[in-house]
Amino acid sequence: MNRGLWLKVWREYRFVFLWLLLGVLVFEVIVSAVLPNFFEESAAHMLSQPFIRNILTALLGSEVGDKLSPQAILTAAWVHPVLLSLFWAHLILFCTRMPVAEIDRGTADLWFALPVTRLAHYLTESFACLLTGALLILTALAGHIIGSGNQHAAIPKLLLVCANLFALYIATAGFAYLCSTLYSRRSRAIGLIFAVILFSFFLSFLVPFWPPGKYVAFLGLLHYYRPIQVIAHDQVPMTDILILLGIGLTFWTLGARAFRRRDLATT
Amino acid sequence: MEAIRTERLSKAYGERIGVTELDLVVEEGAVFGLLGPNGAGKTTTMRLLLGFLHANSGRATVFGRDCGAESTRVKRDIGYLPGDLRLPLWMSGREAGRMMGAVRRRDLRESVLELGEYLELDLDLDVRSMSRGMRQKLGILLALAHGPRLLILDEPTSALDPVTQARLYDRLRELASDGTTIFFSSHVLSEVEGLCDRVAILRRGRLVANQSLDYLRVEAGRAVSILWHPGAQPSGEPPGIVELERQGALWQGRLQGPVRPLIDWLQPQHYEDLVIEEPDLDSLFLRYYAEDSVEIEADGTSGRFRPGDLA
Repeated sequence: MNRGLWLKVWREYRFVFLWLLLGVLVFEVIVSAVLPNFFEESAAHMLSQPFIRNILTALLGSEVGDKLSPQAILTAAWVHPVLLSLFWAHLILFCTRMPVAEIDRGTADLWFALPVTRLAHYLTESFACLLTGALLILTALAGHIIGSGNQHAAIPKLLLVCANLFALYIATAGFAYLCSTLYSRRSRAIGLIFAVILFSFFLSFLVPFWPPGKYVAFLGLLHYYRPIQVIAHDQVPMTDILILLGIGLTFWTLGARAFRRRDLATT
Repeated sequence: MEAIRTERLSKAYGERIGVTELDLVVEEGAVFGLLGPNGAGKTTTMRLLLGFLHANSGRATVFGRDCGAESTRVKRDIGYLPGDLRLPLWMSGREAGRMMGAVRRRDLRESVLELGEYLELDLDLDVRSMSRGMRQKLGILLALAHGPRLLILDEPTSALDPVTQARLYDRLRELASDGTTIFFSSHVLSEVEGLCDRVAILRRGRLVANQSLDYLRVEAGRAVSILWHPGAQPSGEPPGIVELERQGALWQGRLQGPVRPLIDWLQPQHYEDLVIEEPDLDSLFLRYYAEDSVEIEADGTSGRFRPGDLA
């Protein structure tokens, strides 16, 4: 690991990251505090409406019954589109900084003329990506515990949800890095990553409303992230985690290979 | 020792030619100028040396090391200034020095301070607030700070004021006299004349000349004017003069080769005045640059080409 490259990452991304951390913390505290009270008042009525049940199923990634425990209701805080959007915003911003944004801006010449292998650049960025992702998830966990008071699920279950979310983060990051290494225009890389994330989101929402959608649901990354199974049904999502890690590792490796072989042409 | 060697180095961007079968040798300690019109392949050559681009065929080495396979080791010895310099906007000179030092695992603070003073650059100003000339100075500073054995400079004086240009030339001469190899591209012919030992000229990706500057001066020829006494009857043709124009008592042409035979020829004749001007490198380079000019076979190792082809 090269200290200079870490310095560069820190210097470039510190303010954005601190704002994201704050955003995740504030959102998770508020949503975890509000959700149980909100559902307590209207859960029975809402769960009797098929459309709303479908929405909840889509959001939580699993069939919900007629009754939801406060812990199960709180699961929505882990799959809320705002939280996921913050994570994806971070992923898109971070993973497309290097190499594609450097190539697009023309600053690649400065960094790649230094006596450091491309793999070292790629590894440093990837480790920083993992570290920032882990920090974001731990911040979300802290926000969840603070916001929910004593109503949250058991800590080991929450840690399993965090592990599942981290695996989802790794899978998306792997794909984002592959896009970042293939393109020379940042806007194009971002466009493709965004399209895949949107597709995945759309697919997970489609299935409860359109039953044949279940045959293609496995194509979406969110299909492998179902916190309600952990919280409400005590399942350990080992298969989901392994699939997500496999996807992430495959894309990441392809990205590393593409980056090593590509030309760095800024003109 | 050879600082740079390329052997039949070729690079194409799809249909577009970068460089084709480039054979080039730059000796250690030389100041080598790479010339050519826009799109001739100068930047491509430099980017191949830095390992930014992968050659389609051929090979490039720096100090005997392969630029592709040993790129990281090669870059330890190189200071590079890109032609289209872009720097991160948040970076100040001081910060850039610290960061580059950390990446290179060397303390560059002293040399950054010294160079900042030499180039009259405010090191606390961030790039966002810098003029284009100041950014260029920072680029030069970062290329020189670690004391590289080989400097690769792509149009180093663009955007620099004349005073800083002169300072840079002085520094480059000092570095060259201390053994640093300087490989640079330029469109400024006076810069090439003032600095280079040797130049290579590229056109459409091909090497069309690779010569010492002294040789090119001879080859370029010098404008010669001979004014005859009224009634003088010159005998024979003046030796070494080409493109001779006779306008009454005034003869004008271009001298190629040494001046001695011309003086010997004039000695017994009734001439009134003889004017021999400086070698006209501009027109020679322009002839090389010109699309329809004759290609000269260049030999990167011996540096010989057929002078007769120039005429």
